[in-house]
Parts: sequence; structure tokens; C-alpha cells
Amino acid sequence: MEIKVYVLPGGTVQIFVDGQVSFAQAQQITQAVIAQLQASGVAFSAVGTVEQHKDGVTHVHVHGGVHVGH
Amino acid sequence: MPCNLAVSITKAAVTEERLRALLTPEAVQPVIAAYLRQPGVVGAGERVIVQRQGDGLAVTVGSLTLTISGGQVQTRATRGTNATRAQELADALSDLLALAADTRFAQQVRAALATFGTVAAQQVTVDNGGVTQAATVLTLHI
Repeated sequence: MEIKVYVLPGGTVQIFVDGQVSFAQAQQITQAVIAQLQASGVAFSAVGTVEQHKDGVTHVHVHGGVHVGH
Repeated sequence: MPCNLAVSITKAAVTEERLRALLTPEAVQPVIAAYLRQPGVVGAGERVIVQRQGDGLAVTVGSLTLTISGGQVQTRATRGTNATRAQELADALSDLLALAADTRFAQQVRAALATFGTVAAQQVTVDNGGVTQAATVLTLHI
């Protein structure tokens, strides 16, 4: 699976999980990534829920990237 | 990322205080010094000194003195100081520190992700809720 972490201005991140994985697997790896970041000193003050992309969660779009459906 | 392929998306954030804590004097001093060495930033013949002062830095540019502590820039008024110039310089250094904090944060996140494997970093421009922002995208495969 592929994990992309967008580090945005002001100390915010958006973590995308992609590939041939189930949502449950994506949830699991996301939680592992967040745990590792916190263990390494990235002291998040807020962590949102792992959301399924198909639910229409708002998120960053890379300029010039490929977007389908929204 | 081609977002039509993403399975999940998760958002997280650190506080501004935590972000500013990354701006240690050791991290900030070379950034400030390099900026002030750029052509046109300071006047010809103006003396530039960037030195440690307590938990922060003291920046002297000609007759202006600014202090930087905890990621905040303050001007120190002295006789003959050009207030407009001092404010312009303080604003420029504040913007620079904000960028430096974002860079340090991206480095911190990248280092943490490296425990999972090789991490590729790329600078991109994103649309974040209608706002165009510079971002660092860190990619790893597991």
C-alpha cells in the first residue's frame, strides 16, 4: 500500500492511504503511522477520525493532479 | 495524489505553540543569517549581526535591533531608528520564521516516517478548501 502524508502550513497533516487494501487495513496502518509520529515527538493536539474517501471528506487536492468524481 | 484512488483520509494537527517550539535559536540563526545575506535585503554598508541572546537571538541590521524568541520577532526602539524600516524587517523575518517552522515540522514528520522505510519528499501546491498552499508530500510504501 502507499501512504502519502501531506504536511501543510501551520502544523497540519493529511494522511492518505491508497492501494489494494480494505478500509479496515487503511484504518490500521493510519493509526500505526499516527502512533509512530507521536512516539517520535510529533505532539498532535488534534487527530481526526480515519474517514473513508468515498464518504466525500474534504481534503487537499494537488494542483495538476488527477481527480475523478469531485 | 490522484484522490479517486485513496481509500482513507485522516487529518491531524499540532498547536501553534508546538510548531514555534521547533524554532530553536540553533535552527533559526543560520536561516536568518542566510536571508540577511541575500542581495537587496540590507542596505550597502549596513552592519549585520545575528547572535544568541538568552533563549533567543538578537539581530542587528545597521541601527536596527530586533529580538527573536519562541518564533516571535520584536523590534527594539532606539534613538534614530526608522520605525517603518524596523517593522518591514520584523514582518519579513516573521514570514521567514513561519516558513522555517513549516520546514522543520515537515523534517520532523519525515524522520518519524522513516522508521517504516524509505520516504520520498516532494514540494507541491495544493488546493486546501479553496486556499492555494505550498505543501510537502511524503510518500512511503509498506
